[in-house]
Amino acid sequence: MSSRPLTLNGLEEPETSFEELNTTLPRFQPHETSPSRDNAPPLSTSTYIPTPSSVGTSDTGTIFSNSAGAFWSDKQGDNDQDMEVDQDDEFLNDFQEFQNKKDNFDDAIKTNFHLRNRCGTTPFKGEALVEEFDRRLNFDEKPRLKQPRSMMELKPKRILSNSVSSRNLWAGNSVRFKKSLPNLALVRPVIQEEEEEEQRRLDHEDDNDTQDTILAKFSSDDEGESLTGFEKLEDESLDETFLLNHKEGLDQPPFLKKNSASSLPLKISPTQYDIIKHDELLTPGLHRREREWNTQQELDSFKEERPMRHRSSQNVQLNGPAKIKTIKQQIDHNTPIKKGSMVYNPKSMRWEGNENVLNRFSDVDTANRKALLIKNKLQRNDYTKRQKKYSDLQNTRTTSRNQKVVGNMVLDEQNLRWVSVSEEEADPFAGIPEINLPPVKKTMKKRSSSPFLRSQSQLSPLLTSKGNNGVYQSAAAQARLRKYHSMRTLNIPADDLELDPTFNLDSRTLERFYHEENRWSRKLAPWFIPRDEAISVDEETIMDESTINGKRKSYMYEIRNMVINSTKD
Amino acid sequence: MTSIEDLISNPPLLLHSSLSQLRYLILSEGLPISEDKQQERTRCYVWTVLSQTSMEVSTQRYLALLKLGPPSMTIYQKIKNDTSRTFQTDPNFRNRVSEDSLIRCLSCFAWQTQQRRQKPHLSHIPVSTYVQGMNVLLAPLLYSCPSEPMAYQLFTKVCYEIIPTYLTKNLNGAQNGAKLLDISLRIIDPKLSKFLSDNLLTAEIYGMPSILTLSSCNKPLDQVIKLWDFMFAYGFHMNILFVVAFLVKMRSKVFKSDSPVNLLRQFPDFDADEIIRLGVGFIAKIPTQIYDLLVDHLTDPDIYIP
Repeated sequence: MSSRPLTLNGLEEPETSFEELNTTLPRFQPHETSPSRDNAPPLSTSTYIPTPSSVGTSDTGTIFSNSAGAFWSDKQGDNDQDMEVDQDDEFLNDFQEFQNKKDNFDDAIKTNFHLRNRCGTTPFKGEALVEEFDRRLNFDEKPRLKQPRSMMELKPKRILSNSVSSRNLWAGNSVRFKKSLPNLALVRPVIQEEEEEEQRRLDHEDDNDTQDTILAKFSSDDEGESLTGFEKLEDESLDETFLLNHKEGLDQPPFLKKNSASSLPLKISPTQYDIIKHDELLTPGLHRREREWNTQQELDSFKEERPMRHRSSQNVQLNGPAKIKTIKQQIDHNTPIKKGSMVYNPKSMRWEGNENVLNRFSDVDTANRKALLIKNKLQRNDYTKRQKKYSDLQNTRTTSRNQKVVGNMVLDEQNLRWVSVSEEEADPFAGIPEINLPPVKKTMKKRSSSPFLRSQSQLSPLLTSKGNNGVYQSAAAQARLRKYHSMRTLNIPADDLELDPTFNLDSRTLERFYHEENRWSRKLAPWFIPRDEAISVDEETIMDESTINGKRKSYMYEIRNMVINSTKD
Repeated sequence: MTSIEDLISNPPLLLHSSLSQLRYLILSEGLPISEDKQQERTRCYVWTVLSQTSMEVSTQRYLALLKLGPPSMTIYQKIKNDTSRTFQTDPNFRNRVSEDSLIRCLSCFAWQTQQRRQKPHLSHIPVSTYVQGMNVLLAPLLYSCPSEPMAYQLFTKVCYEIIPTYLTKNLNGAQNGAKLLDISLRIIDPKLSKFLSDNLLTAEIYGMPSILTLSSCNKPLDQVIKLWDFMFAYGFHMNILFVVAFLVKMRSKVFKSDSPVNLLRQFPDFDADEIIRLGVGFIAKIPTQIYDLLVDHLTDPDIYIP
């Protein structure tokens, strides 16, 4: 007993996709709400959370094991456990859990069948039915209150059904359903949205008509050969359900029972009473599931399921049970939906809990801003250094002017050059600038317009090296520094030339070059094959110029020979 | 499609004979002067075939050299000085060839020449990175070729293999060419030769530009192109005889001129077919030894002509 729930818990959580979450979570909610009404204390999120303990669920499960709604309770128990686990589990475990989840589905399917069998038998037994009806009547009203407009539409259809209770149930269910999935209730396709578990169940139910095909399908789709051992059980369940359908004729009777089942078992952990059987049934499937999940990706596996759903949905539409199942997916406001650290806020319809993740991006933003504002950065660096080493005078001066200072050099932003703080030094390049300045200015402009990174990277090493030394550079060092800068400016013309548009061809021109060469190759390559054997014209591989010249010269005599011959004649 | 196009469109059965056939077609039919792009290509193709200049990976090489950017400042300045003046008055040329492409090609040539100097087996003849006149030499190629790399490839072919002696530091080959021009003119038109020498006009004075640039300094450029058609076919040594033809054609004017120096500074517009006809006709008068010198002086830097 205990072992089974644990595994289920672990399994259920892992689902990461929101699609999955929606389907799974809604299902248990209806159960949750209904049981709360039954048991008097309304289910609140707080109450719900504590329940998940396997022991509590097991007790309830035993209580309701005989009732038709047991299988619903079973599911819910699983869900509860899942919820608990979700809270505690870390994100990393998700994958494994996810794999396990499949097993959970299998369990659910089997439990479903099992329960149904019971249900089929029980409804006529009397007391259980009466109790269920009472319960439904009790909580029918509440669901209605919650119900959206769609419920109204649903009603007429249900009115056709015989039993009032069933109608009520429908309404309530549909209402809840509407909340979570508004349009689905009206349109049968709702089934498609249901969880895999439900799908399987549905598939089995649909297949009731043809048991053989069902079995084959089931085995092929889900369990494979491993399930053969369980075929007997499934057959029985199928038979019973089949009988039920025939007996009751209308969809509703089975539906009603299922509703009751779903409503009743809220606190019951169906897993416990069925656990033994589940273990037997599921273990083989579990193994197989794990293998499949390991090899395949989540999405692929789901894709497999989808087509099945469609098939089943079409078939199921006629059956009441199928409709009922859609109800399971409802989400109640009271139910807290959690995945790991994430909590679903149904009012805002958002997942919450990871807001701090965004902090990283805000950091990035600021970082980028800093990177662009070189001035500030340098200034800050300088500022800290200055505080250590420099006089207040310098500090005030630089800060007031908002200038960059390195050592005792200040950046003259107008002329884009470094000058001494004292500003008394004569410019050693005073005579030269007129020649050198134009290119310097040009490149500086270019760099400032294009990303500043380069100049920054050139400057930063100086700064960092200074920082490492921890000693401020002497006048000589300053001179060296200036030399460095001046050399840079001297080098700039070369850089400038490299950027010369003359030497940067646009892609269209390049394309034309290659195009022409290819064109030439296509047409004239044959003329050059023999050449490789005779004379290599490739400058890189010229071997002997004299031989080449000899060969080449021969043609230079052709015209002479022609002329001489013609004159002779 | 002309017979020339037809010929080069088909793979040659025997390269040697096919080349001879192509040469003869150049002589007999010639390539038309046309703005047509296809005609332009055909001319370039013919030139590459005749000079056996393969264009394989030419673009790649050219772009690799281009990546090096401009050559050293002194060379670059020289290049830019000359390119700005290249065929400045020829709107046709200016329309088709940008100064930038001249600069690019000459810069690449400077780089490649420097690279070749690292390989002694290639630099048997020390071709200069740049000498004045290369810009004019390059002009007809850029003018005639559909793409810059192809023009450059042909240019290197001309410079490194066809007339390497012309482009050495002291222009040794070109000076030999001038001497040969003097000799040829003396043989072909003794009267004119005497007149010029009497006026202290040596071939080095009036003939050097045409010799060094393979007559491409003369106008019009389209007629230069036709001369080049012929010279690619039968050899650029014919350029000396063509210069003689230029002189012979204007001899009467020279005789009458008060200032033959000014007259000879720039040859008058010419008709390529006429010049070719004259030049080919002169061959018969050129003795074998002189003709050998004409052929050799383009590629042999060690020729000494008294």
